[in-house]
Amino acid sequence: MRITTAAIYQHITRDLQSLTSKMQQLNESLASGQKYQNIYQNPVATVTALGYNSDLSRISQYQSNLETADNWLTHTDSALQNIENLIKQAKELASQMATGTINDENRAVAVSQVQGFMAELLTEVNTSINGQYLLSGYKTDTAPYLQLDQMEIQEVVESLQTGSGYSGTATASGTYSGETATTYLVEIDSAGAVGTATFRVSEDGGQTWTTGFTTSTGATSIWSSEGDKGVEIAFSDSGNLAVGDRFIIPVSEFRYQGDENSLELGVGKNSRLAVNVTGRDALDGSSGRNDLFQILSRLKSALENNDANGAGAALEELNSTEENLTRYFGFVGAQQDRVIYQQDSYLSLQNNLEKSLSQVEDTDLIAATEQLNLQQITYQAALLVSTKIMALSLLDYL
Amino acid sequence: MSINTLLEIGGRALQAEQVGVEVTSHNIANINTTGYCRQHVDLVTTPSIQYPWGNQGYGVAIDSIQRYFDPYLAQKIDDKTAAQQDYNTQKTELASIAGLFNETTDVGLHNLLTSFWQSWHDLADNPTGAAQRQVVVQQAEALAAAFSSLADDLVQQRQALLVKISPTITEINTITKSIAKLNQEIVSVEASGQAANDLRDQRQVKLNNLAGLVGINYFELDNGSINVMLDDGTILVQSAEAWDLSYEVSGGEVVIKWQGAGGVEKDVTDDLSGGQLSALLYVRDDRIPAYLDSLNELAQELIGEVNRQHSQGVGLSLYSQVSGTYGVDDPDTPLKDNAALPFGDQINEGETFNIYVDDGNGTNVAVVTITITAGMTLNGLRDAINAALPAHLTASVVDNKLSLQATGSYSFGFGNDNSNVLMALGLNTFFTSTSGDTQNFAFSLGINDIISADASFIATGQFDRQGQHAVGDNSNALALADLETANVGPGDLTFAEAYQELVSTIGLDTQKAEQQETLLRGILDQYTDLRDALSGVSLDEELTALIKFQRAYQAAAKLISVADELYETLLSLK
Repeated sequence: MRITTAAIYQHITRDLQSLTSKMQQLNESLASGQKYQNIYQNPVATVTALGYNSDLSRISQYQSNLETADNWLTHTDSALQNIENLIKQAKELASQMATGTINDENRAVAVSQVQGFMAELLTEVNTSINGQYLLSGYKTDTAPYLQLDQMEIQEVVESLQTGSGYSGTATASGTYSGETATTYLVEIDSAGAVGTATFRVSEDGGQTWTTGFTTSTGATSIWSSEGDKGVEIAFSDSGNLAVGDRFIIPVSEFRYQGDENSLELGVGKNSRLAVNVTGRDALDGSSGRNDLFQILSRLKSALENNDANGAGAALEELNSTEENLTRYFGFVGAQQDRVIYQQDSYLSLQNNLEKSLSQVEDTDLIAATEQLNLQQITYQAALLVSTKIMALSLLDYL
Repeated sequence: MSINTLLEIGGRALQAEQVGVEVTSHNIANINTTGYCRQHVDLVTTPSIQYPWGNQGYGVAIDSIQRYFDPYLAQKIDDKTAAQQDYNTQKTELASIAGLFNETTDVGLHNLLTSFWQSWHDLADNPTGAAQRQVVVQQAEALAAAFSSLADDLVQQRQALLVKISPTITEINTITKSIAKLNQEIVSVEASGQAANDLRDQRQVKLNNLAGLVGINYFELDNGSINVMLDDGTILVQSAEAWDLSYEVSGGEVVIKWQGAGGVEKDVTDDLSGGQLSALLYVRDDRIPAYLDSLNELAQELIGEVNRQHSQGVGLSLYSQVSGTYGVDDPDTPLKDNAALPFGDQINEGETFNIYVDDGNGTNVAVVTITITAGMTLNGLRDAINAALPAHLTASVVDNKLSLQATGSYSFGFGNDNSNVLMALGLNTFFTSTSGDTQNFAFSLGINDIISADASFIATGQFDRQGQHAVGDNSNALALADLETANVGPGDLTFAEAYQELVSTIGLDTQKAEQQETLLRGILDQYTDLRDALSGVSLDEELTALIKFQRAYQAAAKLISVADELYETLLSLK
């Protein structure tokens, strides 16, 4: 091919340009530490890196959520721990007091001890961190338990049979005329709609029953073998009651002010972690007889009355409360295990993602430096050859 | 045969070699002139004279001055120039758009989107935290600002491209006029029968320039003039006449018009191919609108989904007064599919929502369920609310928007909305956008004034069936944070994925243009090398030719002096 002067110079310019542009790219990627400076240099890698980045941010958010969860669970655990210690002390006291060798003076002294337990229990269940109460469900701004001046008929706790068709609510009313804390157990003993269904009542946790009550939308007085203390119950008419449906009416000087909600945090894609135990769950159990405040109240009045049998009954009840509390210990422990497991798995996921991200995004320093050296040598060679060619001219020999 | 013949041969030889030197010097002088084709002088022998001893040569004559030129190569170069310039312009313009989406920085939309969802998680961890609420508002504001500025930048880019289209068209018109003028000159020069080499070179340069601006076809007529057409056959230059192109903006898009004889106009926008002009049009009226649409769709889905979830919830405070952010075009037309409601199509008729009224001290006094009946109008909804809660609040229609005002110390909130009417009317919502304009979601994305003024209205929780709401309830905040990983964005992707898709589309578009440009530049370089091999000036060659002609000239001069000596010899015979 015929080579012209202009072509020679054009080729020199083009080749040098292409070499400098390659060096420039290597230089940029070395200086910034990033393989690509623009999204169009490698769109697929850029978008992959974006995906990794958002995964990483999400994982660090989940990790921070897990820390919050851990905080809640740790504090809840220690509150429950303290409550259990109280139960243990109360049990010890109750078992001492249940023996016949203890005289009434000893029991009178123990009364103030029980009083102390109740005050301490109130402090423990009302534990808060950062102004948030741990055992109130969603109502984190409200102390879970409030001590009243006198006994008060509390909200009805429903415990329906599975398959029960009842969707209404039961309301307790009346003025309590008794002096000690107690719990009325209302159980349906003949199925049907409100007005037809009948129920029976127990004041001692279902050991003895008083029968012959009919459900009604109006307030119906209920009583037990221990007499009529002015408590009433009304049912809203909605669906059929089933045999065994229970409605528990606590009468107590402690009112639960929280709710039943389980507080959850997001700890993964579509994954929630419950981090709280409500005060009612922890102290109550399902039957209503287990309310620790109730039991302590009863223990107190038994001691006041120098009633060794009453103290023995309280010991039984304390055992069952402790058993209930243990279940929630187990729950908190399991959640804490899940936190640790999740933290570990996020940590390794984070490491893997960081590695992948680095592979996609970061300059391979060794390879890039080698390439830069190679380019430099090539460029020097090109410059040398170019100057040699440019220096050649027929003119020099004419 | 005489000595005179010898003198004549010598004289013509001197002339011929001198022209040879001149053509060579013309070549050397134009070695760096764009589009110059080297020329050479065609020397022929003069007709011989018959003598009894045979035909005797009568010296040299100049036949013509020719240029080395290959019309096929020229046309190939013009074709590839059109394509290369097309992709080159696309690459330049798209790269500057890609710069807007450069997510290697921390303030990219992608990172802000991630931070936005993180702020919801932090709020879910502590729904009563004033700081966490404020962070949600700030992150949302940053996100809204990023959406707006991206949308604004894209619109600015479109505007800037219009500014580039105008001079391109002026340049095309200038070039076609000068081609027509050169046509005229070439025809008149070549009437004598000799090629107008330099004028043809100039015209070829103009044609190449024109091809870089817009894709063309051309052919040469017998008289030497060239007719130039757009790719669809629309004539730009016909002999000595040129027809102009003009542009106008119609419906936001640029329309290129051909101005024919007698005021005839023709829309040639869709027939253009290649050259800078079609690249500018493609980027301006095809790519940028597509990117803007994707961005708007993303903003629309984000507003819709966040608002849908937010309107289900309740914050720490209840409303004493609230107005919708979206208005209808006419309060007596049905709400569903109302043209002015950006989310009117989402309304489910026959479904319900709840209004919860509080006495102002945290005690619920009423829970009412409002049903969106088939064909319900805004006035109808107003009446239904007033009928349901006559003592607690007053609903009214102000500026075609629904407004609720609590009576006395009552306050109220919303929830359990299956009808989507709250999100459609902008009640108890988080984001806002311009009402009635469905094209501007990204640009007009903003935060509901109520929330930016008082973050306690951020709906972290939900009312329970009895109308109670607890401050520690984080269920709605969790549901909002979950939107991050939900496939509810455009194209059933997550929001981040939908944005990634947009980024990769822009990146791939730019990369494709860059790769095509590189490829075509390679091809063009090859054709240019071929053209140079034929038409380019080689200094060595010209210097050699110079010496060659110089020597021949010296020899011809020697002929004259020999003839002179012959005469002298003859004249000295006495």
